[in-house]
Amino acid sequence: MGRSLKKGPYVEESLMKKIKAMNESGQKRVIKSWARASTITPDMVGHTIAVHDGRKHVPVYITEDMVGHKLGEFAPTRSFRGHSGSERGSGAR
Amino acid sequence: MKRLVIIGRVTAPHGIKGEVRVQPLTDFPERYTRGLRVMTDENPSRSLVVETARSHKQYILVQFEGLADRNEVEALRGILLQIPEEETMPLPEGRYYIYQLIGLKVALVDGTEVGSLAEVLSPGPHDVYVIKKLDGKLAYIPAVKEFIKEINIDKGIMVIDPIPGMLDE
Repeated sequence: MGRSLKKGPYVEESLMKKIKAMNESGQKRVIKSWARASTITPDMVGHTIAVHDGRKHVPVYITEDMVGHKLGEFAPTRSFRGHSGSERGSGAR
Repeated sequence: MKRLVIIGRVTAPHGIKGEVRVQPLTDFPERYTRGLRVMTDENPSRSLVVETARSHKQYILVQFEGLADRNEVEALRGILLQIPEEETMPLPEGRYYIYQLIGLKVALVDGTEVGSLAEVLSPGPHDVYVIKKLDGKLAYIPAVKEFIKEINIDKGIMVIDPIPGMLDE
């Protein structure tokens, strides 16, 4: 069963407080968070949130298309390391 | 000695006619076509030629020339399939193979050396570069243009512009 509409999306209060403070001051810094269940709001776009994956904090750069999703969706708790010498590419998006 | 690049791993035989299940370790799984010559990691001088290839779930079912029996391909279980580096597919501008990035010197915009690139993680929307700092600790940088200012493979350097909290964890 989904969350009641009356309550609105769950957003971690302390996280929102930090985001609002940064938006007001115009500065940016990485915010560490364990709140994997927190919903991403439009206020968070452009910020970097280091989401805990159970072992380390994975930095997630929030973009518009992530709004409405949960933070935990972008920091998987299980990861396949793969082979460093394989034909896989990477680059700054 | 020429460098070899991994494009897949044989996980298991499939059926009784000599097909094997290959886990593709490449961004270009369509390169598995008839005639593709691959080297094995056990014995790089041994090459195998793809006779047929078809996709099946997350695998590619490959039959190699001259191997038409399950017993013959049983020995291939677990081996890595490789190609020479010059046969890799060209990437669009701004993208590089992970093996080219690993080991790059990482510096700030003002030229201060930070460390070297140790690993590339792919957790989701963007990659994450793991930097081994000069003090041996690890730092995680999202691979987005906001923070990665320049990648120069020829000079062996990556220039980053981190925000507070990114390097000084």
